[in-house]
Amino acid sequence: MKKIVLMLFIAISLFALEKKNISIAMEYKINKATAIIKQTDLTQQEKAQMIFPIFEDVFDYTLITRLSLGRLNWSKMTPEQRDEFQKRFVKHLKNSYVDKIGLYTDEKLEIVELREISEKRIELITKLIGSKDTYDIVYKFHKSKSGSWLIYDIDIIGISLIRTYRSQFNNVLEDESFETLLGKLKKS
Amino acid sequence: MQKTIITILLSFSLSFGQSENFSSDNEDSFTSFDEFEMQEIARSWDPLEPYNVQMTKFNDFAYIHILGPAVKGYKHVVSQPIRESVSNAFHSIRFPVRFTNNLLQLKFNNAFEESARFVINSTFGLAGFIDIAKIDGGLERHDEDFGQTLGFYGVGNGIHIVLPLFGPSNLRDTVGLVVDSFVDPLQHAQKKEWGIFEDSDAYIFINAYRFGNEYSLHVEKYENIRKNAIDLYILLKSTYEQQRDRQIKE
Repeated sequence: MKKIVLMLFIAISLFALEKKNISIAMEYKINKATAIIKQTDLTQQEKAQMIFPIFEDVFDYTLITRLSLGRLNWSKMTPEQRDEFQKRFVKHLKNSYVDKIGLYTDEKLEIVELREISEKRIELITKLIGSKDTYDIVYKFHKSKSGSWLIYDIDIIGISLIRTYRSQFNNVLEDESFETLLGKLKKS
Repeated sequence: MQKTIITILLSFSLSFGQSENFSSDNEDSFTSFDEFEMQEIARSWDPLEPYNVQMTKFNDFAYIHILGPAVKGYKHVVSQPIRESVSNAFHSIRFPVRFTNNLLQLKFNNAFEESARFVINSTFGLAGFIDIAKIDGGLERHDEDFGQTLGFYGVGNGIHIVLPLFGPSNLRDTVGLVVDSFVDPLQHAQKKEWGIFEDSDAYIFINAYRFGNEYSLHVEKYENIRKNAIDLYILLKSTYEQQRDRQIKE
């Protein structure tokens, strides 16, 4: 059984993520990540370094960065600033993920359904089930120009990653410079 | 009279928020993701910001330097299952709040399930310490409060207010907290005619314990959130309002 899944996964990952494969590919990736997190002989940093490659090809980091900054802030930045910002922001997101690994106890992730929002949008509805609380997590996919489906936002109990960062970025950029924001990203 | 003032305040804050417009820089990826632009605009009016920022700093200090160490000591002594059971019991006591608000929102089925949960957990669940209704019966919680009831009937969030120790809230939910206290059994227990607590010290202690126990279950999460914050006040405000919007929609 494991072998079949593995072969299936290899077959999937060779091509771009297709609509009919989203659920199974994500389930595979999440299970793989959970198995890594559960290992006791690795540090959080080591675990993270093993987990990042698993999800690398499903996140649209460019779009995540753009949407987090918002149209207005994005249009004010030079191409160099945009590149620099994206690099820092992705690093920040990854660092904050490393910290979150420590919070994991024994939660299980269950895929509830794949909901088609429009021709170019799909939401993967999942549940993270813990001993006391259950959290709804929604992975939002869009169809990229290359035709593959990529994640542009994650919703955790109704809290959107993009919206949360956007409000913070907006607030900082309202009365402070781009450099200050970069500094804050670096620090946090 | 009070109601009218509140309604005016709430509607004002809503219409104010929507009156701005943004430049039309038609970049492909932005136009197809307009939902984020719209939501941000509705959030921009924050007259209490200077106070809110200070109160957030105060709360953060209290959480990290006072409550945090205390709660971690408590965590060390009392195991997680027990702390979760205590949390369940406090949750169970507030049944009238959830029941009333489910009814007010015409969610009769949920109100019925809440009643069933209360009866089952109070008896088989050892006075509410074990959430047996969920474990064995699959009956989920239906948390509702008066802030959500107001939201259900179309009242907007109103201005954002950070409460001392309780943290982020808004005008609507603060009104909701006060209204809910009328049906909260813990509030009634301190009344003389009920004679459950001999003095208000016991009441304050119980509430502080409830707060501390709840925080003990979330202390790592808070520390994690604040560590990755770019702007702590805005982060807490944004997550609070998003979460409430979702709870109201449910």
